[in-house]
Amino acid sequence: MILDGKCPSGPLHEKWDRRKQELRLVGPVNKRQYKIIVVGAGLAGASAAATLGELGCNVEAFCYQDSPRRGHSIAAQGGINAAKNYPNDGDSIFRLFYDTLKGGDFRAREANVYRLSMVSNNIIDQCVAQGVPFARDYAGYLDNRSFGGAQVSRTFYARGQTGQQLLLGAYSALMRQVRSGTVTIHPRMEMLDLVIVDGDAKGITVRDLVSGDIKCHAADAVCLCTGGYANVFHLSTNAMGSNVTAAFRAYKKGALFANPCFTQIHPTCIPVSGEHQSKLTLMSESLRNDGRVWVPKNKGDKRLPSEIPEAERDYYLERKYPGFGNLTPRDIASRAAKDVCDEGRGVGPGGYGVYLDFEDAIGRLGENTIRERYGNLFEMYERITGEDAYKRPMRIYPAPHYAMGGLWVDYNLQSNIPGLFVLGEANFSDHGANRLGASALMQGLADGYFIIPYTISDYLARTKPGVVNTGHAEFRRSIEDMNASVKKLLSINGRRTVNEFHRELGRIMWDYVGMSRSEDGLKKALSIIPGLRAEFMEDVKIPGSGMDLNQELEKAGRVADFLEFAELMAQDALHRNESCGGHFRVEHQMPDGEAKRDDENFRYVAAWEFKGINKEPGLHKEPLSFENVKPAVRSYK
Amino acid sequence: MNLNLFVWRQKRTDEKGAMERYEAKDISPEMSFLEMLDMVNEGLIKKGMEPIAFDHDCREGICGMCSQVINGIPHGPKEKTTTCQLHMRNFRDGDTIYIEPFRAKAFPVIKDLIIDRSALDRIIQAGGYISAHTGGVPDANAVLIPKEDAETAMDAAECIGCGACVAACPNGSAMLFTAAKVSHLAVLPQGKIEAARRVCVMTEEMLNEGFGNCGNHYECRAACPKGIEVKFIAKLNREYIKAQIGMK
Amino acid sequence: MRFFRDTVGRKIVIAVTGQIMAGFVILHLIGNPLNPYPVKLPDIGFLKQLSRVILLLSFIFHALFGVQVAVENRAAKPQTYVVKKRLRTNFAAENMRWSGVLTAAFIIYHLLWFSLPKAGSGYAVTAVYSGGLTALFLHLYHGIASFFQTIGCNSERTIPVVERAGKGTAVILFAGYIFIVLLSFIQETLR
Repeated sequence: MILDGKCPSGPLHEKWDRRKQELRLVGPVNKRQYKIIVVGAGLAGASAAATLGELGCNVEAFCYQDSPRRGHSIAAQGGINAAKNYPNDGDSIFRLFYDTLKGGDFRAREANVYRLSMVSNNIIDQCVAQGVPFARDYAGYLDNRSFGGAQVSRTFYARGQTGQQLLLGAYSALMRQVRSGTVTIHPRMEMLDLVIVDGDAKGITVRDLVSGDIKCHAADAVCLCTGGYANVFHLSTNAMGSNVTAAFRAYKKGALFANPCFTQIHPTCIPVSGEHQSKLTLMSESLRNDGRVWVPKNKGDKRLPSEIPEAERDYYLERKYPGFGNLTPRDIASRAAKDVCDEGRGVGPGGYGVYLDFEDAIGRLGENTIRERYGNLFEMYERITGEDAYKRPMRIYPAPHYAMGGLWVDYNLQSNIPGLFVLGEANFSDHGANRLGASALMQGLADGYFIIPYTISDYLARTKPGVVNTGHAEFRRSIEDMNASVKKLLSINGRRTVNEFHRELGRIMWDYVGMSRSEDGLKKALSIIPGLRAEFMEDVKIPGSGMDLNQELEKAGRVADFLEFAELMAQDALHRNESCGGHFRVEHQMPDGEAKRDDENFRYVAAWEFKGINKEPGLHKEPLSFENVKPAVRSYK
Repeated sequence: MNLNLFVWRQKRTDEKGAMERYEAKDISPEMSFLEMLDMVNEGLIKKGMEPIAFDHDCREGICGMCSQVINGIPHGPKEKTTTCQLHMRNFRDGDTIYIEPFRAKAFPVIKDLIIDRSALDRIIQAGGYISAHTGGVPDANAVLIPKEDAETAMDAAECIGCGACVAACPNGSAMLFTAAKVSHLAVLPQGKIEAARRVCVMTEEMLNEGFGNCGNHYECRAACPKGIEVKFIAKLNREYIKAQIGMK
Repeated sequence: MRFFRDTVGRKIVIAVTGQIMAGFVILHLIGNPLNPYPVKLPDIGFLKQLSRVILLLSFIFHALFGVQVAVENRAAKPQTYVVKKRLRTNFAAENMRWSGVLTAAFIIYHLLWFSLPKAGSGYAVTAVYSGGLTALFLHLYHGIASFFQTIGCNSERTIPVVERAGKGTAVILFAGYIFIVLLSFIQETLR
C-alpha cells in the first residue's frame, strides 16, 4: 500500500496555515463532552495534556513514573533550537528547516519539518512566559549557543539542564490544569494495550503498578507520547524504564511502525565499566571541541595513558579524517571508535573505550579555561569513574541515544488508526534518519503545545463524544488478554532473570543492528532473536505475584516487547539496502566513510504492518518528495 | 568487596516492615549503588525470593525518582549526589550499610524502599506555576531579565523534586522544596504577578499534606543532591511577609 | 486570622516573640542588680508596665504556638530512622521543644523565687539556676540566629555570619548569667 502523509498543498510556508484553515473546530461548550487519553508525561505528553486541558477537554494523563515531572525529557542537557535569529547571524525558519532536513539525511517530510521550524519560535516565547530560566546575557536578553550541524547560534539553553527546565515548565502547566479539574493524572500506570472499537482508537488498558490491577479507560481519542526505544540495546542513555511497550502494542493492534531501524548512537558517553552496567551516561558533545581522541597503536597495550609515548598513540580521527579531525560528525566518530575497539586497541576495563585527551588543550589554554568550559562535565565524569580528567584522559565510548523511527503518523500526527495520535519521540515524523542536537526538545513541545490542539479537534469534530464506555466487549476482551499475558509470564518460573535476557538481546542488537550493519550481520540477528524470545518464554523467572507492586514483572513485559520489536528493527535495517544518517550499511559507504544514500530506490518512509508473531511484517511505503530543496550528499566538510 | 546490608522490607503500606540482613558479595567499586542493589536482587530472584523494591529511573541524577536513606543520610554519604550516582568506591570492603526509605507522614511507604511522593505534586498544583495560556504570549525578549536574576531563578529551579529535604528534615517539612519553587518564580518578572497568592497557597497545601513546619535546621540543604540553598527559605518567608502586608 | 494558622505566620510569631524575650534576657543581664558592673537602665513606671505586658504576651504566644508547632512536627515524622546521621543541625536545634519547656519552668521558678519568701539551700538553688540557664542557653543557641532566617532577613552571605553571631550571643549571655549565679553562690558560701 502506498501511504499518504496528507500534507497540505501550496507553498511550503503557507502549508500549515492552510491546514489550520481546513481543520474543523469544536466549540468551547462541546469540548467538555470529549475525553482524551494522553499516555506519557515527557515534553510531548505534558505539553499536550496541559494544552488540551486548557482548551476545555477532559484529559486523562498516564505515566509509569511516580510523578509526571520525571519523564526522560528531563535528562536532555544541551538545549532547544529555534529560528529566532536573535544573534543576527543569518538564521531563518528556512535555514532551520534545511539544516534539520539535511541532518536527517533527507528521509523526513518537507512539510512536517518546515512546520516544526515555524513553531520553534512560539515554543521559546511560551517557555519564557512559563518562567523557564533560560540563560541570558548581561543586558537581560536571551543567550544562544551553537550546536552540531548548524552554522548559526540558535540553541537556547538553561545551564546543562535545558530538558529539565522545559519539562518542569510543561509539568507546571499540567499541574495547573490538574488543579482546575480538566486533567486527571494517573501516575505509576503502564499502558498495556490499545483498544480499538469499530476501527477507531477508543481507549487503553493499563496496569496499576502499585496494586497490580489491570483496568480500562475509554476516551474519544488517544495520544501516545511514550518516547523512544533505544533500550532495545539494553544499555543506552535512556532511563531504565523507557520502553517500546505502548507503541509496540499499538503496532500489534494495527498501527504502522515507521523506520524502526533509524536509531542514533551518541559518540561521547562514559564507557561500560563491567557486566553490572545498567545504563550509560552521556557527556556533552562539546567536549570534542578541545579534546583529542586516541587509542594505543598496539593491541592490548595495558600501560597507563601517561606511560604511552606520543609515537605509540594513534589519534585515529585526526589520521583518518584530517579535514575534520576530532570534530567529525556523530555517526562517523561513533563508528571509528567501534572499529578501533573491535581491533583490540580499546582502553579501560573491558576494552571498549577510547581516550579523549585534554592534555594539549590544558597546555595551550590553561586548566582554568578548561574548568570554566567543562567543569561540570569533568565533575560528573569523576563522580562516575572516580578519575580526574584534568590529570588523565577521559575514556569515552558511543551509546544508543535516540530513536528517530516510531509509529507512522500523517501531517496531523494521526496514525493510520483514526483517533490514535502519536507525539514526540514516539512518532517517526520529523528527524528522518538522524536527529540534530537540540531538536528533540523542539519537536516534543511543538507537537504538544502547537500542533495537536489543532489537529485533534478536527478528529473530534467528526466524532460523537462518549459513544463507547469500558463496558464494551472490546474493552472486556482487552482486559482478559492482558490478564492472561501477565499470568503467562508469571507462570513460566524458569531459571534466568529478566535482566539476563535483556543483556543478551542488547548484545545481539549492538553487534548486528548497531552502528554499522551488514547483510550477514542482520540476517544473523534475525536468525537468533526468535530463539532468544522462545527461550525467554520458557525460562524466565519472575518472582512474586501480579497483584501488587512487582518491578520484575514490569521489566519482563517490557523486555518481552523488545524481543519482538528487535526483529522488526533488524528486518527494517535489512530491507533498507542503503546507508543514510544513523543507519549505516557497510555495503554502502563513500570512500571517506560517509553514509551513501540511494535516493533512487529508498527515498521513502518504510512503515511496517503487524501480521502476527513469527510472521514477516507487511511493508507500506510513503514516498518522500522534495519540492523545495534538492537532496544533496550530506557533507559537513 | 563484600558488604553487609540491612534493608527495610515492607510488603505494603498497611503492613509492618522490618530491617532485614543481606550479603552483597563481589561488589566492584565501579558499580553504582543501584547497580549493587541490582546484583543483590538478581541473587534473590535466583533463590526464589522477592527482590528489594526501590524507585529509580534515569540513573543520571536528574529525574529525582531514586530515594533511599543510606547509613542515615538521604541519597547516601557523598555530598550533592543522588543515590543513582553514588558509586561503591565510596564504601569499603566489609562495611555495613543501612538502607531505609525516605520517612515522613506525607510519604507513606508503598513497598520496601518505595514511597508515595504525590504530596509534592499537590503542592505544585496549589500554585507552583505561572498561569500562562498556551499561545498568545509576548516575544521571548519582550521582557528583559537581569542575568543575575535569571541565574538565581535557575539556582532554585534545579530542584529535582526527590524529597530528600523532607526525608532529612527532623520535622518532615517540605519547606526547601516549596521555597525552591516559590523563589524560582518570584525572582522572575513573569512570576511576580502571582507571587503573593502563590506563597500563601503553596505553604498552606504543604501543611494540609501533613508535612511539618520548618525549624531552620538546614538538614535539607545538607541532604539536597542539587545543593539548593536555604537562602530560598528566607526568600519564601520574605515573600510571605510581603504578601501579608500587601507589599508588591 | 489566617496568619495565625499559616506555617510561616506562626513561625514569625514564634520568632518575633522569642526575639523580644531574648532582648529582655540581654537587658536583664546588663541591668542586673547582682551584676557587679550594672548599667543603670532608665526607670520609667509606664514603660516598665508596658514592657511587662509585652513580655507576658510574648511568653504566652511563644509557648502556645511553640507547643502547637512541636506537636505538628512530631506528627509529620511518625517513624524515625534506624540509623540517622546529623548533617548540619545540632543538639540545641533538635531539642528546642525540651529546652523551651525547661526554660519556661525555670522562668516561673525564677519569678516565684524572687516574689516568694526564699526557701531551699544555696546548693539546690544554684543547681536549679545552672540547669535553667543551660536550657535557656540551648534555646538561644538556635533561636537567636533562627529569627533572622524566619523573618526572611538572610542571604547566602549572611547565613554563616548570622549563625555565628547568634551562637556567640548565646554563649556570652550564658557566661554572664552563670558568672552572676556562681558569684552569688560563692559569696553566700563564704559568708
